Amino acid sequence: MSEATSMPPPLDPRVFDSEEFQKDPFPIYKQLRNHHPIYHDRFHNRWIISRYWDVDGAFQDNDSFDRAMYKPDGPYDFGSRHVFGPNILEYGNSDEHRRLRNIVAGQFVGQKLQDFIPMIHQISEEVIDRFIDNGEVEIVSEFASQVPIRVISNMMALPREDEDTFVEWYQLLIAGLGFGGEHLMRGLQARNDMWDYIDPLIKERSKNPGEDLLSRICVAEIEGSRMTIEEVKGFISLLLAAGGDTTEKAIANMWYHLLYTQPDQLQDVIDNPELWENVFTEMMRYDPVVHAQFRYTTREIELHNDVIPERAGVILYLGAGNRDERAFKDPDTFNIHRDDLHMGRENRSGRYKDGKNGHLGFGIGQHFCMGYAMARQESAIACSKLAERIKNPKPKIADHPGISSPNIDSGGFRSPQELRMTFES
Amino acid sequence: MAAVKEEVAGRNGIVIRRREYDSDTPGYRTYEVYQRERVGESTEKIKPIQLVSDDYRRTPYPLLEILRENYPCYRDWLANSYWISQYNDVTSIFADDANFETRPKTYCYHIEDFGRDLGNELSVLNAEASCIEEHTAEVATNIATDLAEKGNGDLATEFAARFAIDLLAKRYDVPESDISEFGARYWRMQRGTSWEPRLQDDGMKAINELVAYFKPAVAAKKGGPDMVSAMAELGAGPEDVVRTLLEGDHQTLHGALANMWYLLLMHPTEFEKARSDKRLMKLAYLETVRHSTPVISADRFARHEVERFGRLLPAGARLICSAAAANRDPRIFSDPDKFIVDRRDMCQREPRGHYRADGLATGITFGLGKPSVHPAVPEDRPVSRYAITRDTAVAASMILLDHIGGLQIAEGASPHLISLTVGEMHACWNLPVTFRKN
Repeated sequence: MSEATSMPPPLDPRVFDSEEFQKDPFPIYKQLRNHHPIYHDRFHNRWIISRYWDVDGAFQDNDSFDRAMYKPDGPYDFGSRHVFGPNILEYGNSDEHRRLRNIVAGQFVGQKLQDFIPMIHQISEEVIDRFIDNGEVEIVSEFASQVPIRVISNMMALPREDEDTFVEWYQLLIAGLGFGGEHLMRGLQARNDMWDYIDPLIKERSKNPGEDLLSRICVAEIEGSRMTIEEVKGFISLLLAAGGDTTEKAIANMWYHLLYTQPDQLQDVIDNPELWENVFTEMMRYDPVVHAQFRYTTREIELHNDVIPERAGVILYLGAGNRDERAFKDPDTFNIHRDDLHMGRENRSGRYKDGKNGHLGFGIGQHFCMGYAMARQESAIACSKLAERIKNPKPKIADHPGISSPNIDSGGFRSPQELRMTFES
Repeated sequence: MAAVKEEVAGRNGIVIRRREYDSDTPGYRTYEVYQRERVGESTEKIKPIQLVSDDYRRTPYPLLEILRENYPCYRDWLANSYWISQYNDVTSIFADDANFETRPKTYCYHIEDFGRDLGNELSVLNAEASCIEEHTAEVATNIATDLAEKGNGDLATEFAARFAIDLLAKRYDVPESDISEFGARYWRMQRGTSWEPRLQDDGMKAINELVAYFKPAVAAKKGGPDMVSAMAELGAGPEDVVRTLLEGDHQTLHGALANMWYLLLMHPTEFEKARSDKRLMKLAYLETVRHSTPVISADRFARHEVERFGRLLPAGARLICSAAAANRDPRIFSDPDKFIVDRRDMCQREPRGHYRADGLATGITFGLGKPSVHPAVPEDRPVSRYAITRDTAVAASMILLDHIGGLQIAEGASPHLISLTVGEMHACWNLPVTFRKN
C-alpha cells in the first residue's frame, strides 16, 4: 500500500486515439517512459512497454512474448486473421515460422540481394528522369512511392505495365491492416484480386523457374520443404505491403528530416553520399515508419515493480524506446553524426561490436525484419541518386505540417502526406 | 486467372465473390472473414470509436441495436474486446464459469492481494440481510420526512443516492456524523475501478483513508449485529473490511432507484399502475432493470482459447457483455423499447442463476455469476442480494409515496440518463421534482 502515496501523474488513455498523438506522440512517450514504464491501459485493454531496454528485452524474450494471437498448432486451422492471408507474421514462435522464414530470408541478403543492385540503380534513374526537368518535385508521390514497388515487381519479373495496379493493391492491403471494418473488407478484396492475378504466374514459375525472385521463392527449399502455393501467395502480399509501403515511407521520411528537421545536414549528405546510410539509420531511430509492435504474454511478467498478467496484449513502443534518454544522448535531436548510435547494418541480435546501441526500428530477435538490408540499400541508393542529379534542393513551402500517423481507423505507417522540393537540375 | 465461382450480394449490398481456392483451402481464410462472408456482411455499419463516444454515454441503445442485430459478437479492435449483445449469448457467458472469468475489482487497482473478500461468508451475509431488514423502514422514513417538509427536491440525489449510502452506512455501523465523509470516500473508491487513471489515483487514496477509518472500529468490535462485527469475529482486519466493501455491488440500489423514478415520472400511466400496489411496484423495479439497467455491461475474460458465436476467442480475450443490449433484445421481449410495468413476457422472480420459474426471461442487471444448481435459495442462506436489493428499493419507494403526493418533474428540468464516463453506471443523476406533503 505504501506505493499508493508515490503514484505517478495519471495519463488519460484516450490520448492514444487523439489527433495530437497521431501528429506528435513523443511527449506522451516520454511520460510513459518516465512515469509508467509499465502502463496498463484498461480503456484499450492492453499494456504498454516503452523504455529502450524493456522493449529490447521483450523482443529478445520470445518465450514470454508471443507474436501470434492464435496458436498455430491449435485445434483450428485458421491460418491468419490477416489481410495478407497466411504469412509468417502470424505464425508466432512455432516451427512453422522458422521453416517459412528460413526458406525466404536468404533471398534478401548477401549475394542474392547484390544481384538486384544494378536494377535498383536503373529504376531510380528512370523515376528521377520523369521529373528532373521540372525544377520541383513532390517527393511522396513522384519519387518515394515510385521506387520500391517498381523494384519489387522487377525483382519478381512481373509485367511492368501493371505496376500501377500493384501500387493500388498494396495501399489497400496496408489500409486493411488498420482495423477499420470497411478497410479490412477492401483490403481482402484487393488481396483476392491480387491472388487471382499471380496464381497462374506462380504455377508457371514453379514449373519453369527463372532467375527472378518469384521463381526463387517458388522453388526455394529447406531440407526438401518448399512453400505451398498458398504460402507463396501470402508471402507475396506481405512482400508487396511490408517491403513496398515501408520503404516508400522511409524514403519520404529521410527527405523530410533533411529538408525540415535538420536542413544544415542536407549539405553534409550531398557532399558525402556515404552518409545516406547514416540518414537512414538516424531516421529509423528518430521517427521510424513503424512505431509499435504487438505481443501476447505467455506467462506473468514481472517488471518495474509491476506484473503483466499471462495472456495480456502488450504494445512495444519501439518509437518510444528509440527516444529513450537511457540509451541515447540528446534523443530528441535528429543528428546523422551521432556517436552513440550504431550506424552500420543492423542485425537481429541488436548487439554490435562497436558497443553502441542500435535503433529498434526493425525489431530485434526472432521476428527481426527480413528486408532490413534491402530497405537500407534501396533507400540509400534511391536517395543518393536523387541528390546526385539535383543542385541546391530546398523545401518549396516553409511551413510543413510534419510527419503524422494516418487516421486511427485507416491503418498504415507514419509519413508526411506531401513533401514539395524545388531544385536546379 | 482463377475462375469466379459465384457472386453474392451481401445483406448490406457488398458483393462478395467466391473464388476457387476458397473452398479448396479452407485454412487460409481468416475465420472472422469466413464468418462474415458466410452471412454476407461487413462491419461497415458501426465504428468502434462510436462505442466510446458521448452519444454512447447518453443513449447507448441505438448503437447497441446495430451490434445486436448485425454483429452479435463484434470484434472491437479499439477496445481490444468482443461485444456480446444478444440476450441468450450474454446469459450463456454469465453462466459459463468454466470458460469465462470475472476479475475482482482489486484487479483494476493492481492490488490483488489486498485483504480478503468476506462478503460471501455466511455470518456476514446474515448480518447484512438482517441489518437491511432492520433499518430499511427507518432510513427511508427519515429521508421521506425530510423531503416532505421541503415541498420540492431531487429524487436522484436526495432520495436514491442518499438512501443507498445511508443504508450502507448502517450495515457497516458508520455513525450518522460520519456518513457524508464515508459516502464520499466509498464513491471515490468505487469510481476508481474505472479505466480512467485520475479516478483510479483518487480511488487509491480513498482506499487508504477508509482503511485508516475502519482501523479503530474493527479493533473495538465485538458481538454487534452489523457486518463489521461479523467480520471482526472472523478475524478480519481493516483491509478485509475495505476489500469486502469494495467488492460489494454499489450501483444497483442507487442506480435502479433513480432510473425507476425517472421512468415512472416520464410515463404517468405506468406510474399510476405502479403506485396502486406493492406487487406492481416490484414489477416496475424489475421492468426498470430491464428497460434501463444501471450497469449496462460487465466484462468477462476467456480463461483459455474457446470457440463461441462463430468465432475463435483467444485466451485472455475480454468480452463486454452488454446487459443493455440484451435487455432490449426483440427475440426475447416484445416491444423491448417500451417501458411497461405489467409486462407479460418477463419473469417476475429474481434471476438467480437464470432460473426462470415461469419459463420467461428476466431482465439482466449486474453480473449474475454462475447459475445456482438450486432453483430456490438454500435454507441456510439468506435471500439473494438481488432479491434483497429489489425488496428494499420497493419498500423505500412505497414509504416515499406514503409521505408525498402529486409528484411531478420540476418545471424546466430535463432529466436524462447518462454514464459519467464510458463504462460507468448509466443512470439518472438529477431528477428535480415538485410534490406536496401527505
